[in-house]
Amino acid sequence: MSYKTNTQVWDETELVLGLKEKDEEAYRELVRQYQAKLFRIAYGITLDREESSDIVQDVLLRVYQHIHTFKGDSKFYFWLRRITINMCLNWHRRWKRRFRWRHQPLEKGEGENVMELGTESYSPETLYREKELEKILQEGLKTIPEDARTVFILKEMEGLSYEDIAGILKINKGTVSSRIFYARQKLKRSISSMLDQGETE
Amino acid sequence: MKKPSRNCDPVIVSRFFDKELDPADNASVDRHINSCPSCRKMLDDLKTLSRQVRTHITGRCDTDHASIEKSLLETICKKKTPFGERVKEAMLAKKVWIPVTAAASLLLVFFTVFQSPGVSEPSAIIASLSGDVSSVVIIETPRTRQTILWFNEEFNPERLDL
Repeated sequence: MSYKTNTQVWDETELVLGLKEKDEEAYRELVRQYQAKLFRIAYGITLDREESSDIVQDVLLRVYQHIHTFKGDSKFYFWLRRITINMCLNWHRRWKRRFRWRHQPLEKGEGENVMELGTESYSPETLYREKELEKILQEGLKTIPEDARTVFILKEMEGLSYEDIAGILKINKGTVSSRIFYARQKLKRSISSMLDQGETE
Repeated sequence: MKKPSRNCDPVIVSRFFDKELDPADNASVDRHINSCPSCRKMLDDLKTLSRQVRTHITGRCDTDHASIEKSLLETICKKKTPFGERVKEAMLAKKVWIPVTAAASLLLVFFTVFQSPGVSEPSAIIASLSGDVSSVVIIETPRTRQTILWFNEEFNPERLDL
């Protein structure tokens, strides 16, 4: 059987077939196509880059090892997404994350994008304001309980309907609606309070 | 689904923003929002918050995916290595042989110190016999019975009355 080269686009069926035949190029393609998408979901839930990187690696490795369990009942990406969410919500990982957060309240040094100071688009003031907002948002997101944040992130980042989120997380639609509302209110309040605090300092 | 009220309900505005109202409710809330500055502001705030969150998460995910890819491919290559090779590699790995050597040394010390026959154990002479040529002593300790046999170095053939 001939496999596709790097430059060609794999469709989902070919990719799954290649993975089932343990084709290395198919695995390479799996990693390239999905790692960034899965990383965004993992990061939205965990708010921890190192942890998200571990989760994505675990997911992609498990997919490689257990691809035969994919029956094709849903889209391949939906299957990957579900595994990623479950791994993020795994109790052991949650416990470790909480422990780390308690001992390291800020992800210092993370996300410090290198921008050119003094350029038109990034004047020191703009850069400062963006950094502050970024910090506020990060801290605000951390104040949302994980169950509400998971629902909120699936809505914001994946654009899923309440029904789809309810199906993935095995909760009812009303709970999805109330968790999203709660997450938004909580985030808005955290941002306002932090902005007020910043102004008074 | 809860009926949208005209009382500027933030829950309804949130559902409207998420396009989760049924068509009739959606049209009704849409009309209300167009005529209500307070609800319009709520909707605008939701849009801003949503954009900020998406930008924030996307920005933070700007990570080194190439290194993840490399590490994953290395892992699956290892998984493809024949079992015998993997065992050999594992045995040669420092993280295996150092603890194994340390454990073996500890066991050796333990058995040398605690399991060697004690020199101070009580013993009893069961029988002894001394002759012109040799002597025999049978000693019994709580664990062993030993026979000691020795020969006289100064052998005098005259004493044998040959």
